[in-house]
Amino acid sequence: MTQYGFFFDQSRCTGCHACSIACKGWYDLPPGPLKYMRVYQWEQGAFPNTRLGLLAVNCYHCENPVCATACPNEAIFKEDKYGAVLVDQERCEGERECWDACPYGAIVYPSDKRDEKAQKCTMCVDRLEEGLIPICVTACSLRALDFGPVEELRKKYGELDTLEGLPDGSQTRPSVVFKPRDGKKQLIPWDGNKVLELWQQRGPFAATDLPPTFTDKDAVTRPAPGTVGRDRLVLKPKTAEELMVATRNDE
Amino acid sequence: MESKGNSGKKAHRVAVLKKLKGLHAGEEVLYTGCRINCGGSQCVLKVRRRDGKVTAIEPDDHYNRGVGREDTVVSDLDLIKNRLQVRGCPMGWMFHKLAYSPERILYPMKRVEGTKRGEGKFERITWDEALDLVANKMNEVVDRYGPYSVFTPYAPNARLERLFGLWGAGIEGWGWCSMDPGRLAMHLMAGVPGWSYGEGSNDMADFLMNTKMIVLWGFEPTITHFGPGHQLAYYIKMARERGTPVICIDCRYTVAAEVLADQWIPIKPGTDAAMMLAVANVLIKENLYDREFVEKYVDLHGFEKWRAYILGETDGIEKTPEWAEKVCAVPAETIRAFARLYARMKPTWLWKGYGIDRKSRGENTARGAASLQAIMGNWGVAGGSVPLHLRCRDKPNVLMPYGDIPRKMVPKMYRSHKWAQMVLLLDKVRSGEMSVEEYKRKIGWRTGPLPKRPLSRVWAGGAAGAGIEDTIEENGIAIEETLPNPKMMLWGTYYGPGTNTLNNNVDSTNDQLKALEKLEFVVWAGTQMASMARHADVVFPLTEMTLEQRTLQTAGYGGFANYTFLPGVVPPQGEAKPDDWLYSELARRLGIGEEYNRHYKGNNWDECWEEYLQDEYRELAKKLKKEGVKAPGWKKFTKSCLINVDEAYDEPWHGYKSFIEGGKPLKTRSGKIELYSHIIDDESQRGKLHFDDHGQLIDNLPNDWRDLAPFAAYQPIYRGMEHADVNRFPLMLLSCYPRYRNHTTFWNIPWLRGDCYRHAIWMNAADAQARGIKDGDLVRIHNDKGVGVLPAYVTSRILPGMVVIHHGGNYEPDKDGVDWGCTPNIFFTDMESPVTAPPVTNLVEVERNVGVR
Repeated sequence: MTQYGFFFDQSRCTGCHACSIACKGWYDLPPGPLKYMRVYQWEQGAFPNTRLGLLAVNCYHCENPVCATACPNEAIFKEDKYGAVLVDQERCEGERECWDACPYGAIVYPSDKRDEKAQKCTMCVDRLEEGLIPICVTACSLRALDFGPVEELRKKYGELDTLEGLPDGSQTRPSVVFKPRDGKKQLIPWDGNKVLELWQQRGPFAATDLPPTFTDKDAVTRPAPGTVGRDRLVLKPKTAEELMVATRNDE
Repeated sequence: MESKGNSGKKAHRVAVLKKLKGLHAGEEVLYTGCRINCGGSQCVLKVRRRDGKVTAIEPDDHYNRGVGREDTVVSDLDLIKNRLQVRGCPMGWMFHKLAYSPERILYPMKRVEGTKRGEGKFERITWDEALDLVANKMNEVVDRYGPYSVFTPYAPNARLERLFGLWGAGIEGWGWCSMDPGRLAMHLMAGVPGWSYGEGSNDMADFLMNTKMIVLWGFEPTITHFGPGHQLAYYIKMARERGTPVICIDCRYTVAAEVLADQWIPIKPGTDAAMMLAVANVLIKENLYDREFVEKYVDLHGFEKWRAYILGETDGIEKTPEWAEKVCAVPAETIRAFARLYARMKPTWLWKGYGIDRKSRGENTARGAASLQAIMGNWGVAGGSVPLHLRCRDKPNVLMPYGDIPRKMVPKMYRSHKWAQMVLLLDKVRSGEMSVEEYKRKIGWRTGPLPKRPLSRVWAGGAAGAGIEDTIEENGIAIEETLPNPKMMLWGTYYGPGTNTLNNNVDSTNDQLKALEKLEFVVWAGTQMASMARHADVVFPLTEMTLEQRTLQTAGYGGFANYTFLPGVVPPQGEAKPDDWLYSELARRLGIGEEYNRHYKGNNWDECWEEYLQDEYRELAKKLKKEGVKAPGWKKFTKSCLINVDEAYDEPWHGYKSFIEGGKPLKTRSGKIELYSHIIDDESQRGKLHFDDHGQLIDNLPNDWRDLAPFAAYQPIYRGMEHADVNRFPLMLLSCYPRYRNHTTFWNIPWLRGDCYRHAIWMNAADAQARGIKDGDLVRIHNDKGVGVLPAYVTSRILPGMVVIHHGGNYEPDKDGVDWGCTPNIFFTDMESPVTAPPVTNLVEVERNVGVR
């Protein structure tokens, strides 16, 4: 067996969902939480230091698939040509032990009902057999994804097996290489506090006696907890609804 | 686990793999071109078909088959030749869901008698019944109310234009929404007519390889495509990876600001022109601009006029960074540093989003950005840009319907996004409350003495061959006073930008609804049961073009130069028909069938159409051959569905080469780039139809340009953050393009809306907190034009005082007229502005209490 795997370049991910939608189209998955590929978008910090977290996560077809080990019914197995981790729906009894075990949230269900059977990314084994590559990889406009024998990917892209917010790979040994997102540079001086002061004033063309644009500067720079949506990465949402919130953007 | 022993387990696993591998086994694989109206329409889709139905859609694989990260395997020459897959955006993989959607219009329909428009109660009728009904109605209305009584709200609909032109009746609006300020600027500054594709800017390989700095000014290429897909974003990212610095100036912290840019400079919405002027001020005062270029290529008289304005010599206000910071909230030191960096990083690829022009007086940002690039000598050079019209290498256009469109025969009486005002304000004219001049000014009248046109054979009382003028003069009405007399609206095509007019036309939705009430008859054609369909009297079902229509296409925009073929991979659903057939059939019933479509005699549409396509393709192949591009044979083309024009070239492309390098003068008065327009500065010109110095009609300039300045100036936008009405409606609403819809198209596809995005109102945490709003709360948005409901997206990605609702929400009113689909258009208004720029901003208030649906 040659272990195949993925490369994900977080610095290129725009969170556009082309990968996840192409996957849903290919596997004819219904709208909703059955997302083999999950695209997360979340906000970090507040003005003047706002950043946007973006992350597309599928199954990394681990060398040590803890989901398979955890399954009391031996319903999850490692396929022996590409090393894909697959679910045998006939054997799955919906006990969700695999979900508990997987640190990436790769196991998904059509709903919160207890008897739903586990589903997950198939590595597009069907496409591999046709000489194609996984559909998510081919669908990425920014070419943030790559696919191939994981050893080749490591030679090409390095050994990084985790990103901020993801578990480290020592336990499951995921078949994936990552590239982290870019930092920000101040090419020209820019003072966020000065901006807030300017923004607060209506401006030189304003009608008379207008209130300031906002009164409470702290509410801008330190929003009250729970006000801002998706203010953290929730990699393993506990319910279908939480999964939808975590993997939905407002673009 | 006895019962599930090893051999059983193994058999199961074999079964799992067998089932998986069988999923798409044995299916047919076909290519087609995407025909969404993103501006690019260049993507190639690979369609899987089984039993005559599309089962899935895959990305293109014409190049680098089986390669994920293509830039790791291609050379710079490959990038110049665009030997890359034309990967689509998320919408691309969902066309079959659109074709098979429950809202698909399958049959011609007539509104049930006794029901109101908007109720959406229809009965199925036959095509013949529907076509006869509409053609008879057209004749009847024109008979009764004259030639200007049938209209189409939006332009351009080439098919309807042709129909009206040949029929000899009907009026239409002028202009598009997307980029008219840029088109106007292009004509005024470079002598390139607004309707021609004209000279473009620099292609993607050019800025990737030749630019020193990238500036994204209100430009979000991970959302707006100008195709293919997010390819522009890809090239910008690759440029950044190669060390090119990227600055993003935007009122939002966009995904582009996060992913593509080194630095984000937030700016108050609607104030971009102020910063542009301050940058020019620094460049001029510190002598950083390209004096040599200006002397050689820029009309110096106009440059002096602009310079004097910037230095405050004409109005006493110098447009310094200190002046600008109070307007746009970008600190003076930042503006100054930006100007100096911009001067150092020459050439800079500065690209301006079309969105920042789409505010009242948006003509200033279009001209401002292009003026900056002109004085920096970045216009028409490798690595620079002319931020007016993003497009690819020059190439011949295809499928202008059946020859020339007699476009000039159709009076363009109003700015297309003022169609409702065109209808509604007539009452005031008739009651004497409003003068004819004021009416024309308000609706953006853009027509000269009405052209002599053949009198349609269908008008009662008219002798064949007589002119309209004769008839009207017989009735004692002077031609100058001839006004629209709108009674019947005819609209609909495939994904035309205004297809779902109520949501997509910039005019206020509620004003459009009032205007519809005044009409006797409304005809609409389309693919989905969108809000506009509900307000029609007759609905025609059209084919879903990407999958069901056989046609060839190209786009004048975007980064790639290609042609795609759409073979019609599956038959149309129900009785859907191509719009070409629809209008050819209407033409036949109006007695102008042969003139309208010489290929079609009323039978064998498919054969006639095929003959036409092949004729067109032969012509195209000849034209391409002249340019050194080898077009494949028809059979091959209809299978591969792609001609990559860039293949024939070894160098990146940029526009205006013949002017800069070849010394060929521009078609402006001076033959050079004009930062200042003498027409706009000449009061004696006001009220006329405008032609440039070479006799070309200036398409995007209304007869009365209202307060349009002769050069890029700063004029506060109407009803922005400084307007007195913020006391009532404290938040400035902006409507930006969504990522997952093209206007309203794909609104009803749950794999997109609800699954990967939420249609929500963006608001800053401080504004939310002050109103007791948390992310996800349903909120009520209202102003003096309308009321809508949406969930709140509470974020620090915008600053307080502004909110954003993405364009193209479907209008879904409850019984009180509250829009629960929440199209931002319900909040727009008839604004005081020079009317070329379609304004998509207004003031609103947001509150927590939404009431019950």
